Amino acid sequence: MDTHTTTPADLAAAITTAWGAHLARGARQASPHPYVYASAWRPCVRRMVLEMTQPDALPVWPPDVLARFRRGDDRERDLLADLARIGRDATPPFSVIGQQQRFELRDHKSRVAITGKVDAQLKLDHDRAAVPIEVKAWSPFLVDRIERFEDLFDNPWTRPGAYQLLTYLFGAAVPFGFLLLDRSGLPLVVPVELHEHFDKLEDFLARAEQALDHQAAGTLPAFLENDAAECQRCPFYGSTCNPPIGGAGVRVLTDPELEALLTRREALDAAATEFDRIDKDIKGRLRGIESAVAGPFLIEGRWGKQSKVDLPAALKAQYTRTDPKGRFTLTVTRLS
Amino acid sequence: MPLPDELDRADDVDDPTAEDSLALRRPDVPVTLAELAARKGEAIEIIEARVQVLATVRKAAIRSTSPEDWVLFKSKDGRIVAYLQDAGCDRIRDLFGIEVYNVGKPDKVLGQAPGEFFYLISGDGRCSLTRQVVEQIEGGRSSLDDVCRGKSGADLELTVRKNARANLDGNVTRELAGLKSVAVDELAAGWVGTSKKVEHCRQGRGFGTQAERLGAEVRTKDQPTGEAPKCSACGAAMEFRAAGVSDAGKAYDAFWSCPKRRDHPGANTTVKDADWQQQRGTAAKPAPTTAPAAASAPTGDEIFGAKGKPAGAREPGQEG
Repeated sequence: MDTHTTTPADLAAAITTAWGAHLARGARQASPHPYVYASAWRPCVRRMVLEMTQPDALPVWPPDVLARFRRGDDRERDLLADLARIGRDATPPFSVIGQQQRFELRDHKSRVAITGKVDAQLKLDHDRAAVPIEVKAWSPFLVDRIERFEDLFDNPWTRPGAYQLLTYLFGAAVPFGFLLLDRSGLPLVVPVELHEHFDKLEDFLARAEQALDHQAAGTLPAFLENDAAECQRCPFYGSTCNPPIGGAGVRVLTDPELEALLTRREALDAAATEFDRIDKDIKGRLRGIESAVAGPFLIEGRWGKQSKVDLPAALKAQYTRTDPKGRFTLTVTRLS
Repeated sequence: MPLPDELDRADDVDDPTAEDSLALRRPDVPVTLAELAARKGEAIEIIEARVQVLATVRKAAIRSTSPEDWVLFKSKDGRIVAYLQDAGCDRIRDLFGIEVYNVGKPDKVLGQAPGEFFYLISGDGRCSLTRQVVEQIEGGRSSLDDVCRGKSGADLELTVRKNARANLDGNVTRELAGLKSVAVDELAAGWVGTSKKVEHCRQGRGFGTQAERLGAEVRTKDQPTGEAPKCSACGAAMEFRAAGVSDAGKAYDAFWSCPKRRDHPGANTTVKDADWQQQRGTAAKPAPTTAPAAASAPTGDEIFGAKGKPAGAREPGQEG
């Protein structure tokens, strides 16, 4: 290459291209397999079957994604090495054993249904069995939203990771384990107890069993229904799998009384907003004044009891339950 | 005398015709002209209510899209319409209750250029709001599309197939939602009260050259007076293109181009303005260029500071 005529920008672009090519050379093409990978829980059983039988129909990972995988592998290795050192001085002490151990889960027909590799196991003391630990280096945007193990089920990208760890716990016959999430500060260690999620584990086993049945019969399960978003996320969508997609459409409400209420609400909206603002301002100014007059207005205030419960954070977390449909926000916008 | 149970049932449905007329205000409830005629004056109210529901859903659909979802096209008489792209169709499908079904297998069709192929896929669609059905709508994409650049082999095949399906979904949605060609005024009205602006939409055919569509200044005022050159292939009068900067950042001189150049690919369809002026025997008017002047390199003093005074050194009192 004639480096004398090449600008620094050209050189930078050439290095990036070569880097991408280097990563692409190291990428492995998935081959058909007669079982479900532990990290491959899917809401669509058809996709699970296609991943088992036609993984070559999946698009190749772009270099950027391969680079992220590589970073994830590097972080996993570093975190586990740190964890092994930390364990010696921790209370209670623990050791990191059984890294990348193969794992198999059999179904009711004794077929190997789910397989995976457990990142590592923590040996807490001599009397107890080692507990699995799964390391994930997900996007910071995903990790920032995770506080408890249950939060993993809220996002389609983290959900399979949650199912993966549950199968490891079940396979190792231990009641709990840990998820170790890499992030910019201290890694997040998320505990998980198997008995709280037996329903999810059963769901994964049932899906894996269905997928194996279809694979054995050479058939495909029915299309996923009423989840266009999931279909459009699927890498097989449009190329190998062409399901019907659609939405329910908006509900048309024709109640004239409701329409009249909405019209009246709109008319009062500005006045209500102004009232709230002024009310807040006045109450802020007059807080603590028990008796006063202002022009023609008599102002009366009185103190009342107020109870507050200050719970320790751990206790508060223990009794906090999140209802995914506990809050409902309504916005009304006039369009015509 | 009616039994208590019958009385209860009578209370539940006090006026069945009123309930019917409310239901008929929904566009998804089928109604015939005869049924409407039987309702006399109320028929107008029913029709108006149905029209209003459709208008509101249409406006809500436009409101849910972003300017990036639309491409503007300008006709020769200056009328501008907007075309909703496939990605935008995904956002509005649920509002109309549009379903794409009976989707066939993608068919591969070879193109004429080397490495060129198309995937075509067809399917049916229905809208739960209007109860309209469309059949055998086709979607297709080419291996030479921009998104396929740099891809080859199986990766290219999969990408074209996926894009063809996305195009089918888009075509069905556009057809059933009636959003293939929307007046820009309607678009602007739908975005009132939001930060979305028609000016942020991508510009397509009718908005000048590719460079001009991407923001280069249109400089028709620089057009020289006098006769325009004729295209050597078709004889049509050529159009003047002012000097500018290409999307690759390269400056180009003013030139003339055949308006029908796409009809005769391969033929020489452009003439440099300077050459044309010379050919006409007039003094060629140098076309001003919009190319940015090359920035002069900073001097050593500017980088390292003048002798005894470091770069960016502040005088007392210039802190902060």
